[in-house]
Amino acid sequence: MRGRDQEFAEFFSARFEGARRIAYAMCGSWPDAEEIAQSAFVKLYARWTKIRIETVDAYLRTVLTRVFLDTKRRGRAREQVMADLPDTIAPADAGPGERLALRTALLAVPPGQRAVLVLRYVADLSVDQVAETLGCSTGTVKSQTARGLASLRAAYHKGEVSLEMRGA
Amino acid sequence: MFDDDTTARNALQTLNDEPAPPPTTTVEQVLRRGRRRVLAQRVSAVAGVVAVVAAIGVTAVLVRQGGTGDGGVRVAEPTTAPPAPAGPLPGWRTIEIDEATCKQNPLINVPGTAPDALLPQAVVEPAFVDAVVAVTGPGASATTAQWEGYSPKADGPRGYVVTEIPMSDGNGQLQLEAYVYGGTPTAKADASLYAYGDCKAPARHTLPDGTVLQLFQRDNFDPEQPMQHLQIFRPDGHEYIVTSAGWSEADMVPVPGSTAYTIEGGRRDLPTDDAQLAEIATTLVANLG
Repeated sequence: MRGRDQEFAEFFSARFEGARRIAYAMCGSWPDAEEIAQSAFVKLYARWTKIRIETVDAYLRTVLTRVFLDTKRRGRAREQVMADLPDTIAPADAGPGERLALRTALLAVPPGQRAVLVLRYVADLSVDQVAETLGCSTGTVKSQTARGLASLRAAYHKGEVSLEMRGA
Repeated sequence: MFDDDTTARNALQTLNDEPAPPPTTTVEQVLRRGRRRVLAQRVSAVAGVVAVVAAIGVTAVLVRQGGTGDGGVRVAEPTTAPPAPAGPLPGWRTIEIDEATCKQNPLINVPGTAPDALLPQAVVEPAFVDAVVAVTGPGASATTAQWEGYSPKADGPRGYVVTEIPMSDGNGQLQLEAYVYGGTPTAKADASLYAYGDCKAPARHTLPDGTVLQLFQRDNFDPEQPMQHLQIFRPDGHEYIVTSAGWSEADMVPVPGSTAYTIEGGRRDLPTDDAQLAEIATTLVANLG
């Protein structure tokens, strides 16, 4: 393996799982998250020699988010899956009921706002870092965060009412 | 719940505790795909340089051959020059975009209320298939169509129709996607400038009824499987995306144990040119009324 590939392989080993988890928080599907994370690393590899190492994490986050938003935007008339599919974990086994309700509510938030919420709270980035990732102003991040939280709150309470009506 | 940063962070961080299936992506897979991408970029760059050098060479030769006896220079007839890149279609205008902004792919919100539902599949599917047949000939046929009241992929209703078009070495496809949107056609078109086309300037045309058509340049992510997209934003909040694709159902290989496919072949060309894709869009709009 050449030097460039060795360096990239080490970075891949250290970051792929984290990237896959962020992608999963955004899209709610492990197969899609695998595909999004893999596509992001492919794009990262193509630019590897042109990225300063101290900014590579920020670049990866940007590409990952862009791949997710592109996937949502394009809808995908066909399923062009490049990654092998990981085993699926059934939602019922995914964890406590509250976490499942939270996951369901998050998926009801529009994709752009969802990406902001995931970067801000799941990936625990600052407002400035989210703005840098998305290529927008900090004001936009703040307004998108507020709208996203409102959508999340509404979806979460709707889910609670739904469960109550079913006698859960 | 979620009333401030702290409670939102505490709640959403619990998602990191979810059990995950083991990843299936290996670094070898990524390196293989990455090298293919680098190669494609290099081939594309080299082709661009060769084209520019050839154009300069041909122009120099023609100017020299066209020189007059009195030392003046007249413009030579461009009979042997390579074709210039096509400009916008008649009646269309190029929308300049900032490449750096495009690469950032910024989030752009369009305020407005979207319709609750798509037009019925029974209306849209024949309108699209008829438009495709009218432009590409009777060989076109619909292979797949689906209408969903709610699609998680679109966060709203979504429909699609796929038609196969005969090409010289196999079939290509013309695909239609249907969505709804809020806001005006122009605002939505502006917000969608960076959706396709590898950050190259799209062209736009407005129909008399206010429908905005936005034609992107070819996506060449994989030269074997090119794509080109045309967005249609109707004043009543219905959005359509017509995609010309250089592959067919026959090139799709199922992924074992799933409903997904990978695309393993391609025509290296599209079944339509810019004018045909634009004509399909305008015919579709006319058919929809």
